[in-house]
Order: sequence, then structure tokens, then C-alpha cells
Amino acid sequence: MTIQLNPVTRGDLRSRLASPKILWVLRLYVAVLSLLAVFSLPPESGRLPGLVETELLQLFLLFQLGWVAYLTSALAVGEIAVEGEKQILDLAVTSFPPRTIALGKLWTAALFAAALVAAAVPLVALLAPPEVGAIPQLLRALLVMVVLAVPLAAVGTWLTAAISSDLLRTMVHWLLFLGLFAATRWLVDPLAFLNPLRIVAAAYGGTPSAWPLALLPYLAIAAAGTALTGRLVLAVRREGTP
Amino acid sequence: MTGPRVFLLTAMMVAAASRPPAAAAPATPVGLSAGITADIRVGFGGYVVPDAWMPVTLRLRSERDVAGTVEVTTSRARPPGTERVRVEVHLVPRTPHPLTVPVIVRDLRSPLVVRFLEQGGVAATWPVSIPAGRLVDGVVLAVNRRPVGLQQILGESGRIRVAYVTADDLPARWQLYEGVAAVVVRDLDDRRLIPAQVEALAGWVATGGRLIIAAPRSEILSRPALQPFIVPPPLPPPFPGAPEEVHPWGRGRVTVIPVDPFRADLPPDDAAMWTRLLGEPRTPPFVDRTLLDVLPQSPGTSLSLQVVILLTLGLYLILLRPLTHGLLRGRSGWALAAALLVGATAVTATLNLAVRRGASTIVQGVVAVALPDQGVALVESVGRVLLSRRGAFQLRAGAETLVRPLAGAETTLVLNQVVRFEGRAEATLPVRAATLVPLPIHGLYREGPEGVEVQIENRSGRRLRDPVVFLDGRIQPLPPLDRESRATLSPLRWREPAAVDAVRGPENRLLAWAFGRLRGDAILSPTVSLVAWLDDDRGILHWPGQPAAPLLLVLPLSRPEGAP
Repeated sequence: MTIQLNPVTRGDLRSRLASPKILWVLRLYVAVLSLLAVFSLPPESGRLPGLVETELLQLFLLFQLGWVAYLTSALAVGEIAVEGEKQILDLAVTSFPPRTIALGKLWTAALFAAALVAAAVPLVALLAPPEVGAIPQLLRALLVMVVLAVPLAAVGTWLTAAISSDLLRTMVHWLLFLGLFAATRWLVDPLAFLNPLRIVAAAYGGTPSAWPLALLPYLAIAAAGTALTGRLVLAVRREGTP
Repeated sequence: MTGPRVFLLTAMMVAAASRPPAAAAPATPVGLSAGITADIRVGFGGYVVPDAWMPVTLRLRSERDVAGTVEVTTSRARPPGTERVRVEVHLVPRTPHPLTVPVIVRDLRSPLVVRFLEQGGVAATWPVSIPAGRLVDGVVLAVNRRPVGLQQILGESGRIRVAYVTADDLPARWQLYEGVAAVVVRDLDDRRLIPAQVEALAGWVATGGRLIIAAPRSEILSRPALQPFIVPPPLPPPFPGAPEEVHPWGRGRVTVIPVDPFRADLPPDDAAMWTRLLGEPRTPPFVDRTLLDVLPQSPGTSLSLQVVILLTLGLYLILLRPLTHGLLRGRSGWALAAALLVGATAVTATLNLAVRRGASTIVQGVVAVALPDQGVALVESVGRVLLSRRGAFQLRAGAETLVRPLAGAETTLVLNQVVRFEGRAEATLPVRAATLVPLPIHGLYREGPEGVEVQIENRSGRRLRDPVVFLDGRIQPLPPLDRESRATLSPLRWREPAAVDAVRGPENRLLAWAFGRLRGDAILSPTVSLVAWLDDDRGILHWPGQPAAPLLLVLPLSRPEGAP
């Protein structure tokens, strides 16, 4: 049985994997996380009273989440442009159905986020507790990281066509990014659990047990972003402009 | 089959002339047994000094031949902790087996529990509760035929209590005197003392204890156990006309006074003098908890391992290119990328384990203070057990070493030929160990016209490294020392030692700490001391498979008799 990859996703991934810029982005990402991992080795962990090993790993995962979410959405929104990768407006004039284009972009974001998470697995292995019991909770946290990175990218994909000004689009992207990561910290409980950092921490720690519910709004945002992208492709085809 | 039995605790011999203790101590232990009975006494005369090593004296009897382990458990609520001490015993039928187990009582609300373990199970249990009135700040051990008299001198309201003991009750481990404020000897049948008891008494006095012998000098000379204490020339009297004669003994003092404090008609002047003598403080120990502050908080990752980790991560960065490009080349490329990722993960996971193995260790400062003219050294180790995650640890130490946790934890001290200290702890557990070891190293100094001349005689067979002489708060390095060395120190080469915070590295920090302590030490500050690293791992806590910590020797130098 062969899995048919969405043609839009296949094209995007080819462009990204062949791009020297993306390779450097990937190197930068791995290098920064490597530095954090090296600085987390003893004696650093012991010099900060109260900062125990679990918290250090959690800190690493949260830092990684920030990187994964930013890079995934920045590529989707066009803030980091990849030579050869087609944007929504380019794809709107092709024969691909709008649904294929919208879902293809969603898949591109999800697979790229997964690739970023996978690239950091050797670094996680450098810090992780050496118990077998720690593997499921780590895998859970890494999977959640991918899920959390996708909604912003889905909205970002729509923004590429909805806002023509690069500057304005970048500003909106940063506002959304900061709003998601920073503003949600000031929400009152239980809304504060919508903060992606808290969700990853909860997924790693396993508490509160209802943490998967906090993913629902993100899935809804991803669905909404994809639907908006599909409608926008239709609008472009119908009216010639977004 | 023998059913559960009730065991009566032997009554304590404590009696005070004016007011006997409110309750006999310790309480009667009741427990299940398998043909094993035990008489149990805790502390001295039933008095217990918290947070100090105390004897739990057992007299075990068995109806059958049995080999097992006696375990004494003490616990505390805040911070939570359980400390066990285990000693292996072999009981012969119907023959009493005396045994003394050193324990530290932390919390009187938690009963002390004595168990007899046999073949992995509990054969008998005897809980012992200690009445609150038995908790004291210190105990004066009075060795006298008539158990009366001394408490009135000390006063009834204080927290120092007198325990009247016989020669048999004197501990055979010097550490068990930790809660003892002074030992007053009047009638000592020293023929009943075993050599270990004599050594323990001498060792405790040498570490700073106070022995007061209430007998004329002529009487002391006729007692082999006491006679050596008055051999060192006496110190100048504390004031003109003082009736006592004080002999230095290591860091401690032996006071000889021909006034019987136990007599009923003690004149007020003599009572006042005894009040003064008993009120004199003990010499504080040279090594204290401040040593913990100079130890590294963590052992760190070795430089070689750090280099390997950095190289691995660098290589991984280089491999990112073939990894991403491989994904473009179909299945074979995917397989290559997956293999690279799995390989890199396996390597970093291995490095993770290597780091953790190195991170679980003990960091300790070990200081041996040679006790002047005794040929022994008090080796004390203050350390921190570091665990990469909450888990178990096991340390080894030489025989006669007692190890204690300095924080709440679950620990077991196994007192066999090789002492084992094991347990479970959070990421870090401060610990302390102490022992006396023979150390035939002697030093003399003489102040001459060309400067200070020192003479070191090292018959220990162990190498002294980086010797430094400490005098009046200043230091001067010595040339390498041989078995017998002599050196004259230049008056121009003295310098101030660096402060702890001004130096880096565990050895330099320990050295700076020692110089700071020497400045403030009541016994050592007036004299000249040799400070050097000693190639000796007796008494040091060992983490199996790891190299021993260096030992810092502090050797007080004596002035030759007749020297200016």
C-alpha cells in the first residue's frame, strides 16, 4: 500500500528540503537547542537551587515549542521565504481543487513541524531521564508540540493571501504569535490552560489530566484557518482578487 | 511454639540525691519474638541528647543458635527521615550477648524501634519510647561508687543532667561521647575496662572532650587506664592558686582535682569550684558544617565528556545536510535519514547515561586534624551525596567510622568490618562522617634568629603533598617533605592566605577554608600548624568505583621542650 501525499504538500516539501536557506534555519535551530542542552548538563543543574532535572527538560521542551511554532508559522506566512515554494495566490491559478490546496498547506505545516521536532530528538535524548517510563510522556509532549504549531501556520497561510503588505502581514503574525504565547498567560484559570507552554508542560507532566481538552481550540483554529484558505482560493478564482 | 512475649526493660540506675528522675527511662519495650529477648537501654542513665550519637545498649538472649542483624530505627517528621543502624550478631543459646548500637535520636515523638532481623524477615520487634523529660542538652557522666551528689552542683533547673555510670557503661566508641559534656571520675574500677573503652575515652578527650579526675595524683598513678592522661606537662593554672591541674590531651583537657564532689558535706567553696569546672565549655570541633559551603554544589561533567558531547553535536549539525537531502531521494534516502536520526539519538542517549553516571557521586571535604602527641588523627568528612535523580546510593567507609545524614532522608548505616552507608535521597543529601585513625606524623617548630625552623617526622608511610606552614594567620610553603625533613622558613616569604571566595577549584577552596578555621580555632590559632595533602583514604567515604577524595591534614607543631 502506498500513501499518496498531497501534491501541494509534496511540492512544498521538495522546495524546502532542497533549500539552502531552510538548511541553515534548521542548523540554527539545532545549534541553539544544542547550546541549551549543553548548558543544562551538570553542574549547571545543581547551581540553581530548586531547578531540578525535570524542570530543566521541561524548560528545554518549552523553548523548543517556541522555535517550532515560530518557524512553522513564519514559513507559512512567508516571513521566511523559500525559493520555489508556491504561495496560495500562485496555487489559486492552478487546477488543484481549493480543498487540496488548503489541506496541502496544512499538511506542509504539520510535516515541517514534525520534522523540526524529530530533528531535536537527539538533543532530547541527551537530557531525558533514563527511565523507560519517561518515553511515553516525552513522546506525548513532542506530539502536542506539533499539534500546537499547526494552527498558527494555518492562519498564517490564509494571511499570505489576505494581507498583501509584507510588513503588515509580519506584524499581524507577530501579534498572533505573542498573543498566543504571552497574552494567554494572563488569562484566568481555566482559560490560562490555553497557553501552549502550559499545555506542553501538562502533556509532559500528565497533570491536569484534562489537558487534552485544551487542544480543542487549537484544532478549531487550524480547521478555521484551513477553511478560510479554501474559501479564499475560491474567491480568487471567482473574482480574480482575494 | 513460643508465643509473643512481654519483655521488661532493665531499670535504669539513675538516682539523684534530692530528686530522682520523674520516669524510668527508657520505656519498657514490648515486642514479638522468635525465642529472642532483649533488655534495652537508651542513652546514658536514660538521658538522651538529640542530634548526637547515643548508645542503645542491648542485652540479647536467645533460646537457640541464631545469626541475624540487630536494627535500630529512629525517625523524624520534619524534615521526614528514617535512620537505621544495623549490626550483625550471632546469638548462642542461653548466653547473654551484650551489644551497643550507636543511634541518633531526632524526634522524641517518633519511637525508637529495635528489631532483630533473621533471614530477611523480622524475628522480633521492640519499640522503645523515650519520655520527654529525658531529653537534655548534655550529659555529665559521673563514675562513682555512690550515685549521688553531682546534680546539686550543676543545679536542678538546667538542661545538663548527670548520669551515674559504672566502668561497664563507658562507651567503647569515642563518637558515643558526643552528647557528653564532661566525664567526672572518682571511683573507677579500671580493671573492668576493655581496651576499646580506654581508647574511646582517650579518643574522645583528644577530640576536645573534658575528663575531670577527682582524685589525688598519687591515686591516679596507680590506675593504668588513667595514668597516661597526666603524663603531659600541665598547663599554666587558670588563675593563681587554682586547686586543679590541667593536662592537655589532644584538643581536650584532663583536669585533676583532689576534691571529691560526691561527698554529702561538700563545702560551698568547693561546690563553687566544681560548678565552674563543670560549666566550662567543650572545645568546639575544627570541622563543622561551614565546610559544606565550600564544596561544589555539583560534581560537574568532566572536560573530556563535555568535549565529546560538543563534538557529537557538531557532527550532528554537519549531518543535517545529508539527512534533509536524503529525504528527497526516495525510500533509500528516507531509510538513510531515519538511520542517521536513530544513530544520533542512540549516541546522545549514551552520553546522557555517561553524564548521569558521573553526576551521581559524593563531593566531600575531608580534614584530618592530627591530635598533638597522640599519634592519631581525627578524620572528619563533610560531604554532599549527589544523585542525578531521586534514587539509591551506597557509600563505604573504614571500620569504626560513623556516618550520619545532615538532612531528612532514608538511610541505613551498616556497621561491619567495612562500614556501609546507604539509602535513598532527593537530588542531594549532606552527610558527615568521623573516625580516628593512627597517624604517626609529628612536627616540631622552633623560632630562631634566622626565622622559624620546622622539623617534620613522617612515619606513616604516606606521602605529604604541597606542605604549607601556618603561623599567626600567615602561610609559607615548605619544600617537598621526606620521612624526616627540616626546613627554615624565611621571615620575608610569609603571605596572607586567600579567602575562600577568592579562589577556584575544590582543593583550593578547602585549603582556604582550613586557613580560615585555623585563624579562629581556640586550640590551634596560638600554635604553628602544618597543612598538607595526605595520601590516605582511611575514614573517607567512598563511592564505589570512583577515586577517593583528597585528605587535608592539619598537623599542629609542638615546640620542643626547653625551647624559647
